Amino acid sequence: MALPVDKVEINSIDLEILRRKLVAVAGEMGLQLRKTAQSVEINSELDYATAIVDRSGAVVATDNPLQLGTLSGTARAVVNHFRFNMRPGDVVVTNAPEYGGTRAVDLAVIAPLFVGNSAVLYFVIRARMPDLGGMYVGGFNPEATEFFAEGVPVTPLKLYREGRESRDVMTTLLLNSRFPDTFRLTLDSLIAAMRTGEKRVRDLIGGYGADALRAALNHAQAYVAKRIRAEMRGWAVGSYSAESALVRAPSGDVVHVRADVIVSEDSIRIDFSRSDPQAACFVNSTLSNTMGFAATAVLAEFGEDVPANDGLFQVISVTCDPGRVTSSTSGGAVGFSAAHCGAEILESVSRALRVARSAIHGDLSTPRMLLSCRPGDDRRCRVSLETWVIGGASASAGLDGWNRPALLSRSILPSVEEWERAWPVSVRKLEFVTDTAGAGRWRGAPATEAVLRTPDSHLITLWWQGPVSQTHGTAGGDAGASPRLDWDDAANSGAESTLIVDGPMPANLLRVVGAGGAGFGPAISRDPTSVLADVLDGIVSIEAAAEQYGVVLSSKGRAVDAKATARRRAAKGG
Amino acid sequence: MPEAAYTLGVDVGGTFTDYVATRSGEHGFFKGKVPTRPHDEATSVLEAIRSVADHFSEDPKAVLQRMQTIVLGTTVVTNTMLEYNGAKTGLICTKGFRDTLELRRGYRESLFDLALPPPPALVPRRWRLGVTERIDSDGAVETALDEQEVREVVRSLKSDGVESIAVCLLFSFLNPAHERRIREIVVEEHPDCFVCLSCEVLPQIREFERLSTTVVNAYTSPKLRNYLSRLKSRLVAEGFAGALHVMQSNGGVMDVEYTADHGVDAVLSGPSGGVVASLRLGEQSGYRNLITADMGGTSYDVCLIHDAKPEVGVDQWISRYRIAVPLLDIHTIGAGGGSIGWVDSGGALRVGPQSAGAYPGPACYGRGGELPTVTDANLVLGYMDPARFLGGKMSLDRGNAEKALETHLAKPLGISVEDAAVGIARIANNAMSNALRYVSVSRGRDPRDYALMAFGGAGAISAGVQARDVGIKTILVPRTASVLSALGGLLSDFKVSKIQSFVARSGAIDLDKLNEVYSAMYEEAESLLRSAGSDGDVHLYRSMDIHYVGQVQEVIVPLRSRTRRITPVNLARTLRDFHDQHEILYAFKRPDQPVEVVSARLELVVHRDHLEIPSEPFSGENSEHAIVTRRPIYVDRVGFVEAPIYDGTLLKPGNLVTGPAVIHEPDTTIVIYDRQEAMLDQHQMYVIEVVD
Repeated sequence: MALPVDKVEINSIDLEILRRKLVAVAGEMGLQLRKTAQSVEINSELDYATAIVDRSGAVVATDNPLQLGTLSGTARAVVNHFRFNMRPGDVVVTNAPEYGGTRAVDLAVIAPLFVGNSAVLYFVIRARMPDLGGMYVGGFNPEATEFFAEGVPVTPLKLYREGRESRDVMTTLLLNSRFPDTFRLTLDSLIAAMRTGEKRVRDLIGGYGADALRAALNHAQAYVAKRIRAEMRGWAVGSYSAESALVRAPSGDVVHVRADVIVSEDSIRIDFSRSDPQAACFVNSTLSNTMGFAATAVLAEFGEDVPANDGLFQVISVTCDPGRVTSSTSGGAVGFSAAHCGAEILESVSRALRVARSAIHGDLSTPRMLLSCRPGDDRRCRVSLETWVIGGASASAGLDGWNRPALLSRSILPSVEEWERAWPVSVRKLEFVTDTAGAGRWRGAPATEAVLRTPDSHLITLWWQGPVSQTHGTAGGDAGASPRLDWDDAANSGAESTLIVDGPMPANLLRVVGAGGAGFGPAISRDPTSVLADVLDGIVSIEAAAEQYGVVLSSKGRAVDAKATARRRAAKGG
Repeated sequence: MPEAAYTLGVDVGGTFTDYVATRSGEHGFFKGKVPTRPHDEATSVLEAIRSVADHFSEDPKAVLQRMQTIVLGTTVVTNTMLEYNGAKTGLICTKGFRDTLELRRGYRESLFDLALPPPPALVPRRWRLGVTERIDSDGAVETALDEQEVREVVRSLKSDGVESIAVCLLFSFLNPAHERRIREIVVEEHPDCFVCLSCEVLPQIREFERLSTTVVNAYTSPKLRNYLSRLKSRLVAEGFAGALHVMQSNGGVMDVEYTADHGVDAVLSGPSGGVVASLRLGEQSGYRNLITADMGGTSYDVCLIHDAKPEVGVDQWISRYRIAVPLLDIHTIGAGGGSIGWVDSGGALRVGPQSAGAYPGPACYGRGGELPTVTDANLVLGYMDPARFLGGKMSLDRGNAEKALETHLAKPLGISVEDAAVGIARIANNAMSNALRYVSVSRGRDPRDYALMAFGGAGAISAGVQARDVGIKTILVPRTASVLSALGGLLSDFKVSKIQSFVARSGAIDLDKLNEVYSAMYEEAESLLRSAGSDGDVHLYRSMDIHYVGQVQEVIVPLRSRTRRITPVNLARTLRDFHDQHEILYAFKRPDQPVEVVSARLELVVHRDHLEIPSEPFSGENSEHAIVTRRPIYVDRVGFVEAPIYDGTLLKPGNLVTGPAVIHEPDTTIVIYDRQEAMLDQHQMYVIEVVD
């Protein structure tokens, strides 16, 4: 298609306007995908990301900063792979870890936008597909020791060549999914969303010209780099190390993620090479996934106002020797890396940065669980019970934790009513649990208890770290309560298991409690009236008010006994 | 000769109370503004009536005695939600689910803003109480309601001083028996308490959405009821014997009694009037496809009207609480005349979301504001006349505006004051253009097929730039732009909107059952309309929320039927229409895929006698008689040019104004840019054509 030559001389205001328009286009692509997709992975769990990337594969705008690392890694790998062989109308598809991917089900589609004979930019969408081979539906295989047990790797392939579908590639993909129909519909939705993006960007080129757009691609990244450098002013220059650990089920072995962070005046270097070696377990992370979680930890320091794009990687570098748990190679299993060890990567970097800039917030994640069931005679079904394992957010300086931690997932919880109409599992309870919030001057958010009733014939799959994991308090705050998992009959076998794969249900009534959010600052400095409010609201018990906060209540827990509180706090060293 | 009768449309806004009054036997209407008295809307309304009486040289009491109808647009509900000062509200829910409201389906407004506080609790947890009962997913009673427990819960809430109770049980949209019994018990135990049931407020699947909507209703209605009751009493005490109606969020009007119980339906009471007036005035001037843009001091409200029907909202929040009742789809962004320009740490010029508000307001107001705003930029760019602001009631200080721009933008960015002003205007306009694009493209519509109706204080200053930016060819600015919401009250019909869950896959729809659902909704809506005092013919509009199996977002598809009963053909056609609508919205359809109906919607409308906007004959094209001066104004990519300034009150229908030019109406400033041409039509509408 012939496009107009540049119409205007670009100035800084135009560049800024174009940058915002590109962000809006990425957002519109994502919104369309969410509205049209027929799979819960996309329309409810929001496990997708859209992006506009420049000719080198660098992300310029995305609707999902949480996937910045993998978007960038995949785009760069694909652009490089087809450097001399990309044509208008081509659409490339891949999921391979060697090409910037992570899990098998996270499929990326990439399409160029050509002006004349050259690609000006590319559109990228990564989305979790319903299934792409592997031992179990959705690629969730807690016993996987290699990628092949989780799904089929797809090296970069042209799904469309110059606008025409490659039937051989499409057929192979569909044949490797247990749900070829949904897979196909999801692919169509991805491509429709990219077409919308292309239409919008062509409108921009029509108004501003291709050269202006190219300049805006550079401006957008330079702007982010500049913002981050400016926001870093005041951080203490130096080297910081921090670690975070996860417990492998069922062995109980501990896997450490270690971040060595060097903060200088205008850059941050993060190295994970001291992390434990790659594990024979599905918690490994590819380097691009690790980059994404590290980038998320950095972005969390700046709040929502700093946009996410590859300008970030002009300021921070992320490295790791190959073969570590944070840089999986040789087909290592990575199926649970979006939860673990993603959370450990996030926390280790965040803990290091909190030293460099003085802590203003606590933990960013809570321990997660893999928990599903299926009818004994249907291997294609997966009822995702982990949806109902809801942890609490940790507190920040000046703010109690509330709701779930936001930084590991954008998912929305299902409606109980819709869930019960769709699945044979009934939700009997969904409520906060007293005394699960980590105490502190600012307390964490309470954990939520879900009681689920499952049918008789179902098998269960479970992986979790056991009741040893928890969120960690900051600046003297207390840890949140550990997660729990109980069957209605405590004596039943399996109640203490941390790993079950397609095993019989120990009982039909399952009680799961997520981890409570951790506190921030010493609990005995919390305003007693806030403690009283928590008691009245059933978040904190009268006993915990006295024990943890040093607040003594009178009038059956409806008033603060100021004198007794002062005495108790004094005795606790407050 | 009988004494003249009056009607009044009045919109109580944040800063001003706008009004439009008619007097029988006279063409046209009288409009004006009085200052809004915060927390005393009734006095503002009475002051508006006094102004009307003054205008017609009548005694205010005499005007009130002969006032047939007052249609009120109110911000009471909006303000209650913004200020979180509603009733002490309790919630009774299914045992084990007291935290649904706080869990919000896990939703947080921001991924990365760790300093974002939680939404203030409309119902603190101590007053969210569960009772033993359970309806299953087929609507059958699985666990009977423990009535004694309900009594204890109500007594406990009563002893805590709770004055309003929301009731929301799981699956009550399928079987409302338990909710209704709870209401009976509440009435017995706590007769003074306001109580509302989710099965009546929003009988729709998805418990969080239904619960949140019901809680907002319980939280706001008592205050609205008190306000309306006080207002009505004061009006009656002053001699008013006519009908008092209230603008609803769905663009219709209803009586005080209905409104007092349905606070959640009055969330958009003010803005919806502007949309209705735009629709009627646009239609009168020959435009049925419109995007309305209301630019105030702090916000920019946009709504799409397609084929003279405003879009219905499906994903609305107010003050961080979800509301899912049918209402006009008004999309709001935080950009207005008071939005402040600033430079961020990356060196980029930003505008908003902070606003200087009405006090201290923009720097040019001279009330102590020191930060540069969109209004300051408009003044420096020559679009506003410092001596004619608010019809000359207030003067603007250009020196203050320049100083603010210089200090906070020009110096840090190393640019001139004029360039800083241009920068603010362009960034703000870009945000507004994006909003126009959003409401159209997100509904599969091309903005180029629509006319832009600009109103609100500063809407017509920048509409020409936004129209050009998104490719709109026609801009409409009514002479009544500054009081459009009040005017909307006099142009609205009685309207009740109902929605009811009806979940069924395309191959398994029980048509008899569907007809029963619609029939019950019809009877309820008709009864409400008749109670509200409507006596004309009832017009029925039905639609269905449909999606492809597996999707979570529905498309609202009109149900085309000539009869009350829906036939198999009607249904088949509606399902077929869904695929086409889906294609319009999202660029593809899947006719071979199964679809699922989720909800049935119904709108019942009874027309009211509308205010007729008089038309005037065309005069000649020449508009030179209205030029009062010339001054430099900024034209994008050209620079400052000497432009004629028109006194709008001197312009006649048919007069042509070629841009660049500025037209000053008493409360509205209209900027005609280069390659644009305005003509006042016979219906008091400026029609501005954009060349490129």
